[in-house]
Amino acid sequence: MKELKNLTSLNNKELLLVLPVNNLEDVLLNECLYSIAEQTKAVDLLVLVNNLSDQEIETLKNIIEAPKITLTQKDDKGEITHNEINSKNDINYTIEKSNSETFQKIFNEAMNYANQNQYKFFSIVEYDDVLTKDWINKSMFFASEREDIDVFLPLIKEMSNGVFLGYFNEASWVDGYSEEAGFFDTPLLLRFNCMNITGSIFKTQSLINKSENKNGYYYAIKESIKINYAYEFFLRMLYEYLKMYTIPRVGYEHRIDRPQPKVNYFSSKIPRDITIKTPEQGGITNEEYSFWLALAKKEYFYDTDRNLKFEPVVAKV
Amino acid sequence: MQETTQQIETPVSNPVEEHNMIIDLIIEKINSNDFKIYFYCPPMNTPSGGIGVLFKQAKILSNNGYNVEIIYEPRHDAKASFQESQKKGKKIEIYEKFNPTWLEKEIEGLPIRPLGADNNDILFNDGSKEKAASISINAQDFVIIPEGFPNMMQHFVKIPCKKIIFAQSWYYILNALQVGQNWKSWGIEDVISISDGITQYLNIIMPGLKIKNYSQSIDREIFKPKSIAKKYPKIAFMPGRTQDAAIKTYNVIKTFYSFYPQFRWIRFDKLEGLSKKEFAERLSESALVLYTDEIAGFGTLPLEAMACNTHVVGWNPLGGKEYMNSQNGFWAHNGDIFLLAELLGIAVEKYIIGELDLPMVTEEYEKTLERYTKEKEIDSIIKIYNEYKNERIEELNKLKQ
Repeated sequence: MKELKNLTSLNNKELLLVLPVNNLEDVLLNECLYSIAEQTKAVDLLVLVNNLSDQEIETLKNIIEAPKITLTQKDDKGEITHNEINSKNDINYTIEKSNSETFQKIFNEAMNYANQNQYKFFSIVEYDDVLTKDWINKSMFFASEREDIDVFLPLIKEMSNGVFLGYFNEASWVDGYSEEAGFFDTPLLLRFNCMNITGSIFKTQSLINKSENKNGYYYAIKESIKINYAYEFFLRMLYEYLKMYTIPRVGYEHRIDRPQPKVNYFSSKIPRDITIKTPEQGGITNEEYSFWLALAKKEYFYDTDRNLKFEPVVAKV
Repeated sequence: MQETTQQIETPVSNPVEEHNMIIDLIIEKINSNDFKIYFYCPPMNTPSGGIGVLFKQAKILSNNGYNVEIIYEPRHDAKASFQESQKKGKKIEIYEKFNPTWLEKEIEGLPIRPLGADNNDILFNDGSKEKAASISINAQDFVIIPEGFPNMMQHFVKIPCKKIIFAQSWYYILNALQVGQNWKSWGIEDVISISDGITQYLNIIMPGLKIKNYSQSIDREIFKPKSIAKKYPKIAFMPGRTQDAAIKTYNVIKTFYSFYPQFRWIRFDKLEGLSKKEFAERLSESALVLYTDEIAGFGTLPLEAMACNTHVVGWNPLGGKEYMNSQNGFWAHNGDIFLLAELLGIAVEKYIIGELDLPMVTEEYEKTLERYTKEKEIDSIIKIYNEYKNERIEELNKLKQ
């Protein structure tokens, strides 16, 4: 893991925001980057690109340097107009090529970058999601006031094709769910898989201390787990007494259910129809889905990756 | 209850001179603060904002050299009396002890006296015993009677002292009176009102009263803001004075949950049966407070909440209109359950998106609270009683022959 020489920290190495990109989706990228550019506190952005050509990286750079959004409005005559709004702020960023093809690997890579470059916190935002305008500022304020906390989760607005579905990460605040209001604990998480990994702010050192170390590279997430790895990760970190708290402010818009021909394992978003999709489309069977879910609920007792594999049961004739 | 008036002895034999001399002596006593201010107080041991304000006023006067006494009629405790009578085999009367410990510093050093027949022992349900005494009210003394006790007003009709009504609620004024009755029927014209709303109301229902406005304060040493990082996404509320009020409050809460299922994780925290400190702590740790007092004479809860940087969503009763505006809270028309539930949702939404964290919100609260400082409260009370002293002297001078 190398030093980010092209990134001069504007926030005193308080927070490294990591944006993994493996596909150039112009509108979504613009919206995501616009939300980063509009933050009320300076952001250091590390863009990890996978499988993009040099030309695509150039295009990505152009978007990062002038992100814009389109506002659709009705004018005085009642006609629909589309107004482009460019961000007036520059993004402090650097781009690094990555070989990580799955979210598990990207997460570990992001954490190692944050550790190597001495960032106190790091956070991952997916390119089809957006941050709320004041999220970084607000979360850093909470972090400064609550130094005992290791992970700050935002209230997430769950959006399905532009439709608001509900809030996420809010379960820690529900009366009677957790032992201490606002904090996740193991019984709550075993009851519901109710924590989202993207948008969360992780204290780098807390995660490093609880990660498997292989030759100086740290593995917070077990890369062998195909799906529900975040569930296993959160369960293990809670089991290791990390304090995880939901800041009662909306910080992240999580856009799900985007129609995709193939399952994108580079993203943390596992589509609801994963068991319907064919193996060629990245789909898995119900049996495999259940296997990984059950595994997550058992495997968190182990602090190292045991590389367990799914073995389909072959029916005997 | 008994009251007596003391005779002031004078060496003069001419009746006119004697009359004038007595008046001069009374005036002298008033001028030198050698008189008592009696506050009649209903003996409620459960926290009550009204009793708190009454004690606060008494305490300020006491701290400023006035001779103040709280008087109350002990409430009969039928159950304790029955049990004690059974045990002792004779009729024994037990009374509830008035001991508003929830007021903490407001009661320090204030004499609280049960009224009863002279030298009789009053037995209290906490096992203590106290000698009752009939109070001796003189012409120079002042008696302060809360607005909801016309029986006490009637009681003092023949006592030639200054009688002042302390009006903290508009709602109970006419409820406590017979149709056609008013305070002037008992020779009382002087009123201390705690809000512009009550003053306006009294001017309409009983024109001609002499009303002075008392400016309340919020105790900023107790009601303090907490960092937004230390607050919980919960809504504090007080269920209400009556069962009906409580039903309405719960209806607002359930309507809110029904309108906004996405906010079912937001908790409500009932503030009831707490000491002042506990109350302030719980209010301060709440993000919002639901205010459902429809009949408030003034309404300190919204101001206390503003002092805690806790955002208020509530009805706009008559008493609070002097400080409620569109910048310092989410106000619904009094009694409108649907609008209040809707506003709760709007307020929660604004809270979680961080709009209520902006400095301009706190600045607006401070602007509102500027009017209700401790200093202003003390000044207003001292001013009111100085005026009463002067008016009383003027009244007495007019009685001279």
